[in-house]
Amino acid sequence: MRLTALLSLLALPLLAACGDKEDPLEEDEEALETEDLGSHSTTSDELTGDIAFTVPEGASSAAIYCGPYGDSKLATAWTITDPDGNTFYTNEFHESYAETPMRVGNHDDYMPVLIPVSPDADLSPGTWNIDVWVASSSSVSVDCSAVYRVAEVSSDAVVDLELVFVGLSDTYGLSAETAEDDETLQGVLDKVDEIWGGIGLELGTVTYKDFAGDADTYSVVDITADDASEFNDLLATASPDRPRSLTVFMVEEINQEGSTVVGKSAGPPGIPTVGGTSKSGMVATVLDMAEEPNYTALIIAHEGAHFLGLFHTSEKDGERHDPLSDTPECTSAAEGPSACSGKGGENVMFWAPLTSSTELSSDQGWVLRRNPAVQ
Amino acid sequence: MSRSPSPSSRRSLARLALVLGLSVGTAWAGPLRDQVLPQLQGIEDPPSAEALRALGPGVAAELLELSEDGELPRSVRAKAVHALGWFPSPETRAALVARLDGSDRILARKAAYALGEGWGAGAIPELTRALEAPDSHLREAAARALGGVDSPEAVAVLEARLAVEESSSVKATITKSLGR
Repeated sequence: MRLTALLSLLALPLLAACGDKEDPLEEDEEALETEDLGSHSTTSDELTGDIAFTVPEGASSAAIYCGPYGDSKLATAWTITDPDGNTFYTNEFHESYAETPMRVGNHDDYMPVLIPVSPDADLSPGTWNIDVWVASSSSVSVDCSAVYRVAEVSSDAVVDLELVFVGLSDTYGLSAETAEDDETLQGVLDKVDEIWGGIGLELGTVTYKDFAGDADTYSVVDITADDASEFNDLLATASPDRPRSLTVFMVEEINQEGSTVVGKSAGPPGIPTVGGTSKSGMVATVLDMAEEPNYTALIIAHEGAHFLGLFHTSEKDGERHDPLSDTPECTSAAEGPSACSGKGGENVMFWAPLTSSTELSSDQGWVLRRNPAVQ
Repeated sequence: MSRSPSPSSRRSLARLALVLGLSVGTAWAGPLRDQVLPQLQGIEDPPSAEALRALGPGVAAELLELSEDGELPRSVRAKAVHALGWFPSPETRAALVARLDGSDRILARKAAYALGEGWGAGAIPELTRALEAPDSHLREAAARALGGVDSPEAVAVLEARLAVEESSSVKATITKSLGR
């Protein structure tokens, strides 16, 4: 079920008056706990040393993030230790891409970690430790924080979207003013709702905003393999009305060294419930929307799922797969979704899904519904 | 039983349609289609020149057909147009010049990058023209393409445009392309 922002704004006073529903911001405040993990310095190419974070009783997920350290530097979690002192993750897992239930990435500017990203490596309460490595020839200081989801996980979970239109008014007739009456866009959102609905995640309130910055520049996001600063700068403008939501920047195109990328998420995973960072949202292109609206819906569902903690079921090389035990793996992934029929080619999170690739697994749903940004 | 045109006939028809500004809009199954198409379908992974070249002869012809296939998402056709720059030939050049002058601004931008990549200084006349296009992002694409051309002529073209360009984002791109 989707609610528009307008409807929800009209309804809220009535609901509050009836005592049926709390203010959304108060709801979010009760659903989330945050922890300031302090500032930490590295010397050149060294680790921060253990950074402790304390997961509260009843928490179902935790997002830990450190930054900013700049668009030109990469960082990653080197080791994560659970409250019993067991190694929950080490970088050796990443090096070998072994069949382990925890996954982190190398990321520029901010290092985001989400726990859990698999039902096989759940979150337990207590004091954890994380050691962060920043690739830099000089000393780097980073600020670290944690967000815990303490609200219960529902089998009928809801995610709110905030769509930000970046310079699409003249070229596509899309703006905050026209969005609600745009049948194509509403069809796209219905399709996203249908795809995610299959695993118990529904679209909730969708709000529409026009990008307040330099729309001419950011309507086409220019990136290279080594420089995502324009993408990062755009995401850093995310300022959602409600913490528990997903910010989606709608742009005409993402230009990567002359070629085209149709969608891109922070992370994965993104930094949930926190605006103003280079990992605070995702970008979806609209260049296919008029002719193939369901493909645009697939892009939003795919990138949104990255933000919320899912990885590709199979990467293009066919050697790397997600950490979930119930998603099929395809060793010939480079040959495309048809060659991977029955082996994940039908999954939303295949590296090159088709419009018809709309499947999600039970484990994928388990991860999505737990994210701190989900209600 | 129906008859399909041979691959060379199909390509000739596609070129003719392109030159005439018509959309072919037909999904033709070329011999390498099943190998080339997946390279263009990654959401976050653009195709690589190495992977496409490794598929052997016939890739450029397949890319030409895919770039014209109206049943494919526009983004896939855009990737095909850009990839044509990795296979320079009179045929691919003619297709790219037609795209650069065509009505689809996304494909025009991709053609600008492809011409710069595939023909370098040989594409300066077309890219100079693109620098004057109404679409500011096509002007940026042309500026970046010219910035990749190691030629005093390309520098002169960029400097001349910088002097009259009104868009701040295009100006910034030209300045970056000039290495300033």
